[in-house]
Amino acid sequence: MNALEIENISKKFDSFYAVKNLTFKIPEGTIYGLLGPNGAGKTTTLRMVMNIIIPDEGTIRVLNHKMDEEMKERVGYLPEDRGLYPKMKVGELLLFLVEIKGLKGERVRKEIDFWLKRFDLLDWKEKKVEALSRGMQQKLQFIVTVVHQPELIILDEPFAGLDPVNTKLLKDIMLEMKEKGRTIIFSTHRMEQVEMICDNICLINKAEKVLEGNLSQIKKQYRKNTILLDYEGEAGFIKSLPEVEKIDDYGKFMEIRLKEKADPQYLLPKLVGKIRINKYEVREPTLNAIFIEKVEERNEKNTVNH
Amino acid sequence: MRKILSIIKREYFLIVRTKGFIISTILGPVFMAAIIGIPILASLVSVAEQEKIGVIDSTKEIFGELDNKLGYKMKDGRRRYLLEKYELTTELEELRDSLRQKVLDKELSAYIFIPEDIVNPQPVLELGDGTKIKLSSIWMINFINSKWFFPQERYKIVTSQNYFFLKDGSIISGKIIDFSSNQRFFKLKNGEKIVVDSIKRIYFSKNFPNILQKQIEGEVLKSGEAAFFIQNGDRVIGEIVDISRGGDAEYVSKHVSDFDEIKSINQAINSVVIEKRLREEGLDPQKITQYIRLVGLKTIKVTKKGEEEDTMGTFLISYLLVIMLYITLFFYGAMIMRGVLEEKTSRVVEVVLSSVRPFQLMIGKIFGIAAVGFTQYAIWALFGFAASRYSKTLISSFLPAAAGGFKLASVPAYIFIYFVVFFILGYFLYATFYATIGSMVNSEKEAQQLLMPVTMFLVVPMLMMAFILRNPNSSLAVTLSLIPFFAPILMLMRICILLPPFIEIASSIVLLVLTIFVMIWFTSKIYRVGILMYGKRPNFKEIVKWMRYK
Repeated sequence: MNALEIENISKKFDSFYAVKNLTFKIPEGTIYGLLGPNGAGKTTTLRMVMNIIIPDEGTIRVLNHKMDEEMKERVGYLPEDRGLYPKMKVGELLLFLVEIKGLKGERVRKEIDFWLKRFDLLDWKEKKVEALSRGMQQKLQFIVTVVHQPELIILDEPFAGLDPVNTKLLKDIMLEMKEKGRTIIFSTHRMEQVEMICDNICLINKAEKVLEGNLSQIKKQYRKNTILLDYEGEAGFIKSLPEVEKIDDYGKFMEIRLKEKADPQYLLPKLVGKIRINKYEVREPTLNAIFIEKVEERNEKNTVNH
Repeated sequence: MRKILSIIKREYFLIVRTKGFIISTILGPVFMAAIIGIPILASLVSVAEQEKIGVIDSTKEIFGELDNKLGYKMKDGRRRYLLEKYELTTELEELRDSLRQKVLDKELSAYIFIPEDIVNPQPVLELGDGTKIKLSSIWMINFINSKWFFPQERYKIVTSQNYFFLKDGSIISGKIIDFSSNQRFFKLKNGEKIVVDSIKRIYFSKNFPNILQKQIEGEVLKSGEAAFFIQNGDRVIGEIVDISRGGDAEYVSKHVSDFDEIKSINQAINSVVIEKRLREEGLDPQKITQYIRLVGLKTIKVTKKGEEEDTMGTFLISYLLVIMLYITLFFYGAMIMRGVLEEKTSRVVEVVLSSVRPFQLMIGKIFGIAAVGFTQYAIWALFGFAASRYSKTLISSFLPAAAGGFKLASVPAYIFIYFVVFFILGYFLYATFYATIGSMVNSEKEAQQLLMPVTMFLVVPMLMMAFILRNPNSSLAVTLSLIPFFAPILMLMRICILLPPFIEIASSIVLLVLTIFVMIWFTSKIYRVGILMYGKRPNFKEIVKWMRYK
């Protein structure tokens, strides 16, 4: 069964499409990455899933139902703009937010205490939210998202602004939720996070889907024609070698894309002696490279069309 | 519904616990009571001190009686004012200087100067060249409708008693009669009577060249000018200044803000002077006082039950209710706006929207704060009830005269019922306005500008109050009280003054309810978009677009 089915949804703000003809499905118990540059339409899509914005066209089915108040109770949502009631006490805030998820009673209180304890916030239960540090507020925000044990968890840019400790914490929660059979969809523009935890991805750019599917299958479509090079020295000459299609130079580290028929075995000798090579790895392109390529490809097409 | 209840609960308990709520609940009645009570208390508490006041009596006739009039005593048996007479033995200016010094040295708390002409003030004639002459008496008569006396010129010059000079230079002599009635008459020597428009008396001083019954060329001058004829046939042109003032006494002190004291001194001087004037005319001041004793006008309200004497109490309570309605509509409206704004700026709104619809959130907030309002009013009502039970003893112990005015029980119950109805309707109407504005802006500062029209809707009825009080059933009052934005305050005002026909009240309520529904629909459209919009404040065009969003 699919935890989320989106079919042909479009949303227009004035004359500008925020989302156009978007379709994708998320199988239950998987982690799904919604990728795209800033302004691609990720947040609008997730808001439409949450029924906060109503799509102009298309249908959305959450856990096999139309999204409504009751379905919202089975979904956890972490908005891109984080926020909590600053004047409320931590315990009260959680109780209120769980209550509007339709839960009440002793079991809920225990659940709240469990999460507060796990995140080291139990001592802060009677403190006002505004007294918490930024890091603690971020942790509290995760609790808010998952405390009612949602079946579908929607995270909009969950890693943005997190310190490394909280980043790891969140990643752990996501994997733990997946193990419990929950479904997670999250949006990001940071590819390395996606590669680590996603099962499936959907890449959107300028309101439209560019690429979608199983992450490992997508990568397999690309030949092993990419070289990751860890080097020291002056490497500017590589760009002009005949085998090279394009490079992505980070100074000490370089991603080299080879031309169609070029053989990585013949490139290595050309580098030896000119630069110091610490690592030379032949692999499929990174998601980042695929992403950039796809986006640029699409943008070029659009320019030609215009 | 369950979710709305959760939101109402959150709003309610969060606000009711705040210091702001507790303070405003307690301070509300304290504030109202203070407005009424402080002046009364202050007058009781302030310990009057004896004051020494110097008096320069240029007439040499006033002091005794003034001393008498201001002779009342304080509780401890001492005189409140101790008057000290200063003889005008030296030059006036010198004497005044020395008294001024005494006031500065606190030897005297003030001094009073009584001018020579206080009993019969002399107006001053200012001539064209700026010279001023004190006058003793002139008669000016404005003639009306008289062929005989140059009907085209209403302004005629007239001079000393018995002789009147006309434009053509002719002189008529006659007498002014019937001075007191509405119509004034001018009686000629031959017995003929002419109705005149107005008569003014002008005094000539002794040193003013007497006007004789000489053949003089007369002329009516531009308005504001009057011509005066003097003996040698010359004409001087001047203006009468200070005709009504002249002869004022002076009160000189380091501070002149003790209005009570100034008033009582002024009254004492006045009664002395008036009595003197009356006696000079051969009248008995006591009799005159008796003649001009004012009669009261009892105000009686006709109700179905019959006639009942209405004191100012009803009016005061009604006035208080209208003011309360006005203040609380502002207060709770601002509370809603701040709540919406807080959810928006803290970005918590989207978290809440992941559980409820925008409409539920908005309605929950509006009802939550309504509950806050009811709690506050309930507390105030208890205060009020307690106060009304004990107020009579309380107030009468302070100020026996005021007790009669405070018959809370005499305020008809329907006024309170309509107050509740119009408070609820007004609250919901303005709640929608404030919620909309809160959702559209990013800060309270931005909100101020948008609040202008809303504030106007609330302020205009208050500005109309004086008008409505006088004309509660004028067509303007009726029309305005039917306009939903004004209705809560204006209709309540009208109900308090004079119960309007039920059809008018009912239609204003129906219109209000309809408007509230329209406003809620309109607001929910804007609210759901606005709460997710950050950045620039939307202009009117953008808001229209928002309404079209699906």
